Amino acid sequence: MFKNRCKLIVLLLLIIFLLTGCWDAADVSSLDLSTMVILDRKGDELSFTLEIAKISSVSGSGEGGGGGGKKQTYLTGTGKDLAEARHALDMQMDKPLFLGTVRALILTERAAANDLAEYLFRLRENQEYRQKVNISIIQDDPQALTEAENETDQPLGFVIDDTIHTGQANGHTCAVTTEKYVNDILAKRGFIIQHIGLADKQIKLDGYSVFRDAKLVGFISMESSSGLSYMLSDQPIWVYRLPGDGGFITAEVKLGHREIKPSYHDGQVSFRVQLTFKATIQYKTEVSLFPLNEQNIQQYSDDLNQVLAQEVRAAIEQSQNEFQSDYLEFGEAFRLAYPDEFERMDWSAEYLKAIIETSTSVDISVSDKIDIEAS
Amino acid sequence: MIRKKPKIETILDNIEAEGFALSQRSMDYGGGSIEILYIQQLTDRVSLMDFVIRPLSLYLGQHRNDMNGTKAKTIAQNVLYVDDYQIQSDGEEVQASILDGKVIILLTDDDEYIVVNLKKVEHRSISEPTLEYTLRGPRDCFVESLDTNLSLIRYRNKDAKLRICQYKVGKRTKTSVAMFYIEDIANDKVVSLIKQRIQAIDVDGIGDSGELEVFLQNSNLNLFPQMGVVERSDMAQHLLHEGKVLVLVDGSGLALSAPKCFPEYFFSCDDRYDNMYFGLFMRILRYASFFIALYATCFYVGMSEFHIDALPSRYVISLAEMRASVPFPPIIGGLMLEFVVELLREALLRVPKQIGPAVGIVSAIVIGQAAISAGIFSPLLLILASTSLLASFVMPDFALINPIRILKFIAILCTGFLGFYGLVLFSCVLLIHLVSIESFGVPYFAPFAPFNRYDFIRSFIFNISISPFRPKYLKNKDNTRRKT
Repeated sequence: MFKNRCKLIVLLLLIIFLLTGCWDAADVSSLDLSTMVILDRKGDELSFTLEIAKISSVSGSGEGGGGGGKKQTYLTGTGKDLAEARHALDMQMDKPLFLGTVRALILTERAAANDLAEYLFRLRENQEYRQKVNISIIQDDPQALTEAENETDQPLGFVIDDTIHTGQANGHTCAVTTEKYVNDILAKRGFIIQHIGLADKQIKLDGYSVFRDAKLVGFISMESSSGLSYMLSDQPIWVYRLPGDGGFITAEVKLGHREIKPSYHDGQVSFRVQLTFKATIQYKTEVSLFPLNEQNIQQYSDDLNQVLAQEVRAAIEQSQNEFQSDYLEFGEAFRLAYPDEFERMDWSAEYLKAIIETSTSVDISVSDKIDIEAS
Repeated sequence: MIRKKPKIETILDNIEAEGFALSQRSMDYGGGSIEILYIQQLTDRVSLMDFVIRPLSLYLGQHRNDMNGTKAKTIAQNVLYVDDYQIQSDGEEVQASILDGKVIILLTDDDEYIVVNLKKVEHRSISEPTLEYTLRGPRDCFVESLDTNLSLIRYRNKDAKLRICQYKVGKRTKTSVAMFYIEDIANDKVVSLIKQRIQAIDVDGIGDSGELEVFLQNSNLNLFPQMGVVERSDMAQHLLHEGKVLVLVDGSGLALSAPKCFPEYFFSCDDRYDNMYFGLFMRILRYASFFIALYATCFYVGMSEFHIDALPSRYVISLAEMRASVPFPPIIGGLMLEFVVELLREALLRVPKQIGPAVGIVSAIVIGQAAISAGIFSPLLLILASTSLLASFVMPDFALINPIRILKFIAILCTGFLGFYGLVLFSCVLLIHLVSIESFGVPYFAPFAPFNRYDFIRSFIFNISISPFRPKYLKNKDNTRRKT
């Protein structure tokens, strides 16, 4: 009995120590913490640029001593392919690299044009990255991006991530994960990736890069992306300025409800897109616009509805005709409704022929801040 | 059994030979004498003078010549002004009675003698509790005098079913031990188990309830206490009504209660008097404090050594900055700091009260700040270790603090070697241990395991008006607290 128990304890300890152990330990201060990765292509060469956070002691006695200056440093590795570029980068590291702190993965348009798929597959296999890391495209040279400034002088990876999240919170951008991109590539679906740029050395959201078959095919500017965000974002919010009697009114528009109904008859794919918006008249530019009465409020509603319908229609047509890429995810709606048919068909081709009808309605109200009865 | 007859000369010779520092008062009469034996330090000498010596003197003055043949019983019944006396004839008991603080009255002409209880031991008066401090509950707590403690319990329980069993424990100390329970509530098995264990004690002596506890609990190898400690008489009353058995030791200001289950360590006396929602909040806070006290440092060790990726990116960089100048790995830092904290805790217990705050300030602020500036400890580790110390003081029952103090070090070692995997293993072993032990036949982890819905809810939300039943896991004879 005692012998058996001893054997059991020894076995248990063996299992414990074989599964994990202190040899897995890596003190956080003994790692190079990367906050951003930039992938660029110049001719035949690919380059990885890593943003690494500079670690300064808070006690003031250690290296770096909490002094001023940039809190990050950049390392670049170049090679003929991703593996070689990464190897070149590793050769420069004085500490083990930790990628769990990466908050932004940036691809230049040059790299995204051809190397996106391979890079995304590498990302999927690499467990070090966080699942929800943001991927963005830049047009600028990586060097220009690394010279971008921010008020708090924090790592650019954080700034880009915060900018994208703020855009999502404001309802202007769509939240997309790496996993979805990989699935889209595997399913040969089109997709969009957030495009960022610089304005006076400050990071800003530019718009979206459009991909078809994992290849970069175009760009949609942020200014013309309202229709797209009504189709993809969870809670898109846009502001419109409409002309009135001798002035303008400003209305904030939120998406109330989005419904996409697919149908499939006689080999024809069709969709009915129904969008309900909630608009609030918030500001006016001229006193003469008062009083707002039911009649002119209805007029504004009709005008707004027309604008919104136009924007949504344009976004769909751009997707079908200009980019020929189903980044508006009609395919997903169709697959859920007709899984067998979807399996059999070539969706990329079918999407271009699909009939998509849109209908929009606006429920307009006047902000409490405006007194419609005022004389 | 043949009892030895006391011969006054023999008894006196024996006592003299033993070298007791006792007082002897002789009162002669015609053909003999009355000998009064007592220990000054244990006897109420005013009462002795007024109720024993004075009436005896008066009696002898009147009957000096016809005292021959007077019996001890006659003297006790007709002369002495005392209520608590016994007539004894066993000569060997004289010594024990004197050492117990009683007054022995020997008569030349009688083999029997009188034992008068005029015991008076100096003890502190009833004061405010120091372990079970309360904001709104009664503040009278037990003192070192068993009689005073008995009076406090009697005062609060006018129940005819309250049973008090008294024992003498210790071959040399002959310490009085009293066991209390309410006959028609308490579980008979628990009562008889405690009785048996008290009666089976064969030791030189016990000085405190803590020493008695060692003999009563199931296993002394257990880190967790299996008996509760009660300082306040109102808590003692509540526990008796719950069906618990209390044990008081003469000379100890703390009573023992049994059975005691793990979740009961999170009850405070105030929970009975406060709003039940506040009680719920406090109980959640106490459970959280238990986990913080046990695991706070482990989390630091695990996070900074093994699971950095579980932290948000910004915190990882902050953590790295905090650890940048620290020369020790997290496990060594954690163990060292916890050791310093334990030193501080122990030092503050032992130093005189006048310099306690100064020691606290020097240790906490000066050493803490200096250690961070010198880069010996990470600021976050210091914050967590201090929080852990603070959280351990939230435990209403101090008996639970000691296991946490030891287990914390084991948990840090497990986490330092195996990461959170080690911490989970440690927690599993701890949990298995807790569910596998018993306190006087009651599962220690009840009502969580074995689970009982009623008791489980009442272990968080308690109010006498919504709790008509006593805890079911105690298996009391009468389970109804309030008729619905």
